[in-house]
Parts: sequence; C-alpha cells; structure tokens
Amino acid sequence: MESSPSDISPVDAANDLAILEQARSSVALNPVLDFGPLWYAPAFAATAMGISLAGRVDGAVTSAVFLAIGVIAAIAVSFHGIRNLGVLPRTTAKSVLAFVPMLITMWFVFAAWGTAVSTIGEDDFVPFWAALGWVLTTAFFVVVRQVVTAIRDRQPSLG
Amino acid sequence: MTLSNLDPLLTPPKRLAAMGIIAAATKVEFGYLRDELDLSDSDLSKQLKALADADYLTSKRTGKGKTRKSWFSITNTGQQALHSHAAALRQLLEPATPAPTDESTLAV
Repeated sequence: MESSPSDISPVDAANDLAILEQARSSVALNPVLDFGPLWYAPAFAATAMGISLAGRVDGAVTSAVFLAIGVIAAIAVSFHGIRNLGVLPRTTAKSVLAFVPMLITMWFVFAAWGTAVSTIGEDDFVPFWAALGWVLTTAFFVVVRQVVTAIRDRQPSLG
Repeated sequence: MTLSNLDPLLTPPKRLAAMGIIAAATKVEFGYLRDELDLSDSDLSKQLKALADADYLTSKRTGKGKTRKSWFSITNTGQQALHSHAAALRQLLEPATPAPTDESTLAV
C-alpha cells in the first residue's frame, strides 16, 4: 500500500532540506569564518610590511628582504595550516565568494601600509612608526577576528 | 511521491547532516564532523559506519599516534543517493497535483 503525504509525519522534509543547506554553507564558509590558517597570510604579510618599515633604516634592500621573508613565512604557515584544516571544501561559487571579504581586507591592509611607507621620509624615526604600525595592524586583526567570530556565531548550528 | 522514495539510511537528521557536510567537501576529517555535529566519538563512528557499509563513503587514515586522522569522502553511490533523497524531500514539499477530472480528460 502506498503512503500518502499525510503519512509522512515522521519525516520533516523542510527541516531535512534546511539541514542539507546548512551543511553546504558551513563547509563553504567555516574555513574563512574561522580566524585560522587562511587568515595567517594577510596577518603575516601585514606584519612583514611593518618590519619592512624598520628595515628602511638600512635602505630598500633590507626592506625588501624583510618583506620577502615575511611573505614566504606567510605562505609556508598558511599551507601548513590549510593541510591541518579538518575540511577541504569543494570549489563552488559560494566557497569562492567567501574569500572576497578576505581579499578586501588584505587590500585594505596593504594599501594602508603602502600609504604609511610612502609618507615616511628617511629622516623620520622609522622604528617608532614600524612599532606603531605593528600595534595598529594587531588591533585591526583583533577587530577582524571579533567580526568573523560574530558572523560565525550567527550561523545556524548543525549540532 | 511517497515515503518509499526516501532513503531510509539518510533519514536520521545527524546522519543526513554528516552526509551533507561530506558531500560539500572533497574530504572531511573525523574531528571536524564531530565538532560540527556536536556528536560523541562513538555516536559519530556509528553513523559513519552505517554510511560506509552502504558504500556511500570511503575513509582513509593518515598519520600515526597523536597525529592520526580519519578522512571521509563521498562516493559516486553516496552522491547519487543524497541527490535522490534531496529530490524526494523537495517533492514531498510540493503541493499534491490534483487528479485529472472527467471534464479535463474529455477536453483532451
């Protein structure tokens, strides 16, 4: 005997479909909303930019070396961290779009540092500006962390 | 659409959520699933074993000792089962199509 729609009370189809959608969203968004490995690269690169300011004391070459070390460290730590992520999302429009805020943040940090570097002359007390820049960058990423954590907490839980 | 179109293996919500997560990823680690689904190790193992026994999932272990991890990926069979199950759920939500009346039958 066939069951009719009235027989389906044990199955909540709407809820089950919502569970599937939440599962897809969590996989696409969680790696970005966790302030973890994927954020290490911009954080490291921003710190390297700060160190490169201190390097300007000895000239552009030292500055470039600091920056290169910072970027290489950022890439290495990021790859190591990504390998330790518990999930490797499939490449979907949603998972790619999730990176847009991160890219905007990176651009903002780089632009801010670029502006700071260009406004500092050789006669300025560069280490002070570098230390101040590092503090500002740290404060900036603390704010970013609060924001992404708040966004993540608003995501519906699967548990 | 009837209940028989639903996959009984995917009916439990936690198991369905696990399948949804694994289907959305290339691979998922056991600890990630446990934390996301808020399940105990034994409960999650039970759910995953049921799915693996049905050839919906494959598992692979990496590392040794404390770094040992279990990774899960969905199989083609699992993808098809999940797709069919989701289609069945969507159809359950659609309003029932009215049976053709004698009048409409005559009009054709």
